[in-house]
Amino acid sequence: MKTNSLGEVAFFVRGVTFKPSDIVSGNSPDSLWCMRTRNIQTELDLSDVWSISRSHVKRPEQILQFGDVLVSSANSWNLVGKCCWTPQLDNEATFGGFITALRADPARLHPRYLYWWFSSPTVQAAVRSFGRQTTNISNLDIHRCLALNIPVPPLEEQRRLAGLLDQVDDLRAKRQQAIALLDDLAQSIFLDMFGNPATNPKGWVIRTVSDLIESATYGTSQKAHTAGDFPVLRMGNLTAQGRIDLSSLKYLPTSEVGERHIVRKDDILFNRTNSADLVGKTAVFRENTPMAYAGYLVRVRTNPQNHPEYISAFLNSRYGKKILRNMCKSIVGMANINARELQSIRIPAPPLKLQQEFAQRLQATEQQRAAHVSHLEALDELFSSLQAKAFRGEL
Amino acid sequence: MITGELRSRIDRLWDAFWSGGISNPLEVIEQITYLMFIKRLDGIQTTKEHKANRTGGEVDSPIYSADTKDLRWSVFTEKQPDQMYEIVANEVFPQLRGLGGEKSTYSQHMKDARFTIPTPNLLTKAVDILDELPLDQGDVKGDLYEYMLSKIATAGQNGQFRTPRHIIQLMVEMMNPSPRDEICDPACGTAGFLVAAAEYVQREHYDALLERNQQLHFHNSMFHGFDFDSTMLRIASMNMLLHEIEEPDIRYRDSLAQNVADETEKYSLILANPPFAGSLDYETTAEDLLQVVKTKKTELLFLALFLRLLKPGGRAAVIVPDGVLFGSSKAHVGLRKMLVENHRLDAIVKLPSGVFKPYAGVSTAIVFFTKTNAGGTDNVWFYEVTADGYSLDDKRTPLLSEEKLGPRPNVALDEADHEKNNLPDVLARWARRGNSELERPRTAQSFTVVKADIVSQNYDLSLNRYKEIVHDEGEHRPPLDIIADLESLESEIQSGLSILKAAIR
Repeated sequence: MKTNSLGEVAFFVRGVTFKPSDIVSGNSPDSLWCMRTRNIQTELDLSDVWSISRSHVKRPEQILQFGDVLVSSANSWNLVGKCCWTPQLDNEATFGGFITALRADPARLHPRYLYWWFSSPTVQAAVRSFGRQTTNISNLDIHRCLALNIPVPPLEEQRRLAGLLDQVDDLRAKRQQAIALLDDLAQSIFLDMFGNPATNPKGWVIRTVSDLIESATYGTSQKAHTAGDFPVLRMGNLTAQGRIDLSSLKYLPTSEVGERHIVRKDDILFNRTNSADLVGKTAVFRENTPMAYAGYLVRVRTNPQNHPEYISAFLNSRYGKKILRNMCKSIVGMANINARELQSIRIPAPPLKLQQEFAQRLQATEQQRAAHVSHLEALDELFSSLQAKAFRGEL
Repeated sequence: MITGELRSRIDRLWDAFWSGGISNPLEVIEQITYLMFIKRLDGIQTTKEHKANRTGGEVDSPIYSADTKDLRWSVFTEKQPDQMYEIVANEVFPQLRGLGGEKSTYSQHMKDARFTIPTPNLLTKAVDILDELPLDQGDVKGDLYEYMLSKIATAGQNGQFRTPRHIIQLMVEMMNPSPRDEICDPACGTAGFLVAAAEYVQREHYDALLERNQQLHFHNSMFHGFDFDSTMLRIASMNMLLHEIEEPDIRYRDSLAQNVADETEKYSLILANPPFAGSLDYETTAEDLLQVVKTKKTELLFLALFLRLLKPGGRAAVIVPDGVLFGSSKAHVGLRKMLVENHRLDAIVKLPSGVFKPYAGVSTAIVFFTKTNAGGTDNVWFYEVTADGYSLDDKRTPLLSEEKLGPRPNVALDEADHEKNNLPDVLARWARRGNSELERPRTAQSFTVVKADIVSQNYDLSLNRYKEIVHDEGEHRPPLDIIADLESLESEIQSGLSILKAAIR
């Protein structure tokens, strides 16, 4: 396939410079949006946009255009080159000094094709490697980027390739949306069956967590190692959404693990120390193989009249999170909720049969979710494969 | 507030020291302080000479004689750099140390002055820049020094760190010191609290200070600051001097180690942010403090100390780490019980945990109490400050324009501004704590709690213990609606895949 240097078919536009004191409110006269590093996410993130006076825009080309690739040009080394697509915006916008716009020559290059090329892993790795590091900030090397070779098939062919990648990307987005919906579904099932705990519309008896459980035990304070024979769960293994993530484990020698520090299927794990946002993360341990757990976790064993999934879902509900957040005590950045405080939380106590029914529905939802997640992984793989082939001329 | 040209001159002075080889900000401040002091001595001598000239008499207790006239700022700064360096190092500083015999607060702290500027070049630069600064202008010079102090951007040892000016101002405004108060900061550092209190009294009680006895009190007996770091004492006394307080009582005192006997019940107002790090040994802690509370924790010992230092009826506003409010040790509970039962606990103002950044991310609160020896706590007022006008990260950038910052901004704040700076609201509601504040629900940003509730919570004073949260009912979609959405997404994904398959084939 015919290739060109990037500089022959596209160019970079540097952002405008302004001081923090130049930021004005969005509705002040003669102002426009100004994109900065935090706006560049996978998609252009417009949740927090600054505005500045139009007088900072020295050249007309510094006005952001539909289809520009916004590139983070001064960032920590691993984020230099991070980029996103500029969609059609409601407001006129420019971009700050740490950002550079990559703009295609429309007669030669299809913007969407350029975007998929520039965001591909190989090009991103090359751009990062060009980064010129000053202190701890690495800067985009525009000249070396412009010298990169980009395959330039006829415009019609570029449009076709970009279209294919867009299709897969669209499928990925839908799959992610579905996963988010499944998370909502779990919450919704809880509220549907038990009502909002804040108002307790179904009139369940209100007890405390201590009434529903058999024991609450702190984990091992032994320092875990990267190798060993007995896996140890640490606070990083609990996700904020209430699942156990086994992707990164540490270990202890079996001889150092006592029964007190072993978590078994259907135990609840509760994170008692973390930042204020994360303290109180809770998950049910659903694995068949027992593991050890670290000191910042509390193992909660439910008594026979109650189901762990119900207690865990209660603590993970919006209501539960709010209670936890409000009760934590923080000293020097770390927030704490000890086992005694956890047990003092007031919780509606519905009958066991209903709790079990809830656990079954939750399990079905979780199974669905797992299937969706592996489907998403397959789509990611498909996308990478197509992206690589597209720019090798094999598609 | 120091801006523009003046600010950049000070920055230049700072840079000169930095590139000249002194990188410890405290040492820079100390050396600048000496030079400012030396310059001031020359100024005083000149005033005395003018006076002598006018009256035709002798110069009254001269600082410099005919033999030592070369040591005067105006004389040595005219010399060649090498020569000047020689004179300052070998003659001016020994003379400075000799002044220690005098009883003035400022000369006392000069007795162990050490000259550490390494080169004639740096000395020349420093002298030139200091000559450009308006060190004789009333309101500017104090601000100017405060600006220099703000550059001490490292936390000291022993848990000391600089208290932000706007928090100091809030505490002073709430305490509303009168010209008759005797104000003490037993861990004064750079004397930030005392300076702010002095500024407040000068502003609010300008007329009262015209009266001679009040004036004497203001200059000689109103302000008391202790510290056990001689560098801090020097800086503190210079700070007071530049704010035109002539003879403040700034002295060396190891507040927790020395017996309190001769200071007992001497002060009517305590403003402090004592260091709260770690613990002391019983052996090195003053006996009479351990009698009040048996603990090794410095933050509790300081509270015990304040109770001893205050006159009956005396008031205190003190920054404490959150642990003091909820700690469950015997000493913690005992001390809180003492405040609630034996004295009058007035208020707890919870500060956001970023207030002391970048030095520390510690969570703190301001405790307000009055020593009564007879109880009197009926209601305790709580306020949760969530924003103090600055970002709560390490940068602490202002969130509002200059005139909207601090507890007493020049312009009124609206609802959106309040979200960024709560301090004016704290001040306004504090004044109403005995009236309308009593009616506020516990879900509000401020509320009052009756004593009985505090007693039943074992004297726990953390705001979270009493604050009630609003639970939103929260819209939630029924499960079947969500499943319907999932199903239609699923079929879109299916047909999307088929189209894609056709396109690739």
